[in-house]
Amino acid sequence: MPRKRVILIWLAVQLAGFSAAAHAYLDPGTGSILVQSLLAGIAGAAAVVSLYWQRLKTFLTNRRKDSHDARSSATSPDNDA
Amino acid sequence: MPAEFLAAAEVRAEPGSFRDPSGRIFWLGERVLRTVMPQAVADFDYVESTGIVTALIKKGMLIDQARRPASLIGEAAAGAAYVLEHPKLDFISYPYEWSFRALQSAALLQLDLYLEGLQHGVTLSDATAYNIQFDGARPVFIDRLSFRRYVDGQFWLGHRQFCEQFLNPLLLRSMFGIPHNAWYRGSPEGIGAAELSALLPLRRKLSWRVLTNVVMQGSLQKTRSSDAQKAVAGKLRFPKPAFVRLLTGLRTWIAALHPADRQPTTWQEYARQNSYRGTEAEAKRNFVARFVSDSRARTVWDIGCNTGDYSVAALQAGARAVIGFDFDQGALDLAFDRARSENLAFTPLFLDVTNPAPDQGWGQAERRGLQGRARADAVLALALIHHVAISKNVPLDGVVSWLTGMAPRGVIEFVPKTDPMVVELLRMREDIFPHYDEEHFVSCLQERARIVASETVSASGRKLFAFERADNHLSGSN
Repeated sequence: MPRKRVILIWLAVQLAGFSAAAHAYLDPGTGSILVQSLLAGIAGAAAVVSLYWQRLKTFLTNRRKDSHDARSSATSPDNDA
Repeated sequence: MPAEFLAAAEVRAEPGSFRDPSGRIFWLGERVLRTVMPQAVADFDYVESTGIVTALIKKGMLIDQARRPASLIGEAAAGAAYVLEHPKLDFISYPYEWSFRALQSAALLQLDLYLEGLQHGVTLSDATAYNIQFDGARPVFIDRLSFRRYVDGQFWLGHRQFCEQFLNPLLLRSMFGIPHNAWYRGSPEGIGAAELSALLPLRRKLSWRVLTNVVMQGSLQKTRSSDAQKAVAGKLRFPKPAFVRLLTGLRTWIAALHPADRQPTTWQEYARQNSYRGTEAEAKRNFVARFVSDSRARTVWDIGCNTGDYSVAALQAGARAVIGFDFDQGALDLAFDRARSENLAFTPLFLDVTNPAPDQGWGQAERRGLQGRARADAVLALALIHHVAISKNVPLDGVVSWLTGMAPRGVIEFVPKTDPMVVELLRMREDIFPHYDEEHFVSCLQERARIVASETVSASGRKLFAFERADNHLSGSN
């Protein structure tokens, strides 16, 4: 059954995750871990924002270039550097 | 080394090595051996295969290692998969004996090991300052078993320990001008985030780094969070770029920290302002150099080293390593900078002679007291004795007994009551030291040792005495 297979894959992924902490002898502390979760969240959010920012920039640059190209493409073929 | 010595060498478990079941340190006579237990083998082999161990050893960041047959330590190796040997260090020091600069450079090494490790798919299981020792002023990491395979998305399990043992003690001095040593010694696991946070004024808390690493870490520590449990269990991810950013952020922050002392400490200016000048200092240096070369002392303890003038003289005269001790933080920081910039085999450490580090930690054996680590060939005590005998009221006989107990030979400077420094010490107090004079000092010294040389080095009557204990032998030469 496909549902069962999904559960099995999910379990395998979880177990692979568990191995990360198998040999830890140190208590990392709740405070530290929560702070890292926050930083991870911020890093994630920053990555998303940066992705959209890049897209927006590309979009705007292309649009400007398009309009610029439309005006001057006939005279200067090298100006896209 | 003769075979009968090896056979007779006793195997002892190092009492400070028990926390991580991956392995432990054993002493075979003077040799240092480490067991690697079966549960640590996969990580050990993986880390070895990345090439990072050889690279770090070559750069002097990690202590050297060599594989040895398990039979070398017999029963002690029972169940161990591998046995390693490390070179023996001249002296083991603890973070509560380090100057600000020393703790700072150790912190940077710890972060560099993480950063370099991550490039090789390697992380560390902890971030304890006790895993770092000093070769001169150069920090060296000594725990091979801290290195583990990095699993993508893994949290930084040593972050809290790093903050408690490196960051927070450094912030104490850089924000408030309070040296970490006394607090750290009373709390060998370091300074907790909640404790430091409680001291911070609001404006300090507004910095993002302080807010996350100190304030939030401290206030969230007591919460019972199922998310934190999930994170440790590997069900949540701490992306590698975020991990690297946290490490590099801490590195930039720590590298820029400075002690917030409002004025130079008393002894920071000593080298320039003391009552010794020109030819007197020269005479003193020559006496020390002659003593070191005549006695062929290899390891020297310079008690009251200040910025290290006479430690350097001892090194130039042939000493292989000098451990300097002083109680003045400003002088220690200058001494450390000097040792580092001139690449000297000189390690300046914090010591209050009247209150040296005790045996402490688990079983009062985990971290050893100063006396238990005293293995120098020679001791120097220059311009020290009056501070202990007069400022601290320790009987002269006691001071001489303590100093001659530190090493089988050495140089002690006697500073008479006519000296301007002693006059200054007695200016505001009654002179309750009728027996503080050279004659009494010499009789105290002669009770315990033979005086092999002496020389008056100042117009005020300061005099150096080189001694050799009756039971004298060079501990490093056999």
